[in-house]
Amino acid sequence: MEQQSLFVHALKDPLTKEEAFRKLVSDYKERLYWHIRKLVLDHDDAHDVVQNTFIKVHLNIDKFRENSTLFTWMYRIATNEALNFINSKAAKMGLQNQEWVEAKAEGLTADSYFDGDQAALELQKLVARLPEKQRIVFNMKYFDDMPYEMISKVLDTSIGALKASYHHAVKKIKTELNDRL
Amino acid sequence: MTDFKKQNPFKVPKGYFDQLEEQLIHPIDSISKLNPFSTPENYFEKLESALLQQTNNSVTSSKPSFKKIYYSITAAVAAILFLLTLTQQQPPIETEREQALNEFIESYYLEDFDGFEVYSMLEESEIETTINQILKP
Repeated sequence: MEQQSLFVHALKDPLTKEEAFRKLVSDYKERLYWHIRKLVLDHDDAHDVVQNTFIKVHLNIDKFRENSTLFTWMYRIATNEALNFINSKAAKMGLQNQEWVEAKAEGLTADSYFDGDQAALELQKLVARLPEKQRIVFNMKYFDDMPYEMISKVLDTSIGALKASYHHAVKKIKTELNDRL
Repeated sequence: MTDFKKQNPFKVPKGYFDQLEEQLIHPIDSISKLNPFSTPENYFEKLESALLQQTNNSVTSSKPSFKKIYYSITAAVAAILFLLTLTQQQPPIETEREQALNEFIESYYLEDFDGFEVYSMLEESEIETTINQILKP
């Protein structure tokens, strides 16, 4: 935590901010990109969101009070940015958020940046059909192997509620997969 | 009822809950957990410079120039002056409506009532004020 404080201090200090931010981008760009990508599914969309996320981080670092780790704080911003992005895209097309995500998942077949086999594609389609919260929890737990404690801090939800969400998600996917595969 | 212990009488096999999650996930586990998504070649190398460029732009654009501030203030002052002119020239719509309503009440509604009936509709304080105004020399 002390190391983090020093780093955050460097990010806030105008003299060291640029160099510290360069390190921040270097350290977190991939992790945040993949978290966002699993939520918005499309590479170009993920690129837009990851840019917005880092701009938000850059503009708001002075407001970061270190009540959580820097990583958790950035993950939270990335999640919110991804959800806002989905919200605005869906609204522009007159769709519900989930409908927009499902349409994106259907389009993965033609996506040149999707290398998964048929089973992986089916799994993505089923994940897209989950309610928003369950979808986020499933992605963070199943694909990213993130501990419940960390997910709890990012999503500001109790561990019990997260476990319930995850189990519901797994149960739904399991049932559907048994029928499909 | 108090004689009964509140302890859970049911048991599960040893290590059941440790395995439950894995058992639930098993059919999904048969699908590779490997990331099925990919990115354009050298994307993350380019992303870093793009992000730094973007944040620099956002900082530059977040500082408004003197010209922008000057024009914003001028526009705001002009808008306030315009609104003030409008409000001075035209009586507020609400006042016009109130006047019309009062005229209607006085000319049509109240003409059928005698003085006593009109006073009976007023509050005591209103009567006092009205009488005082009438009695003023």
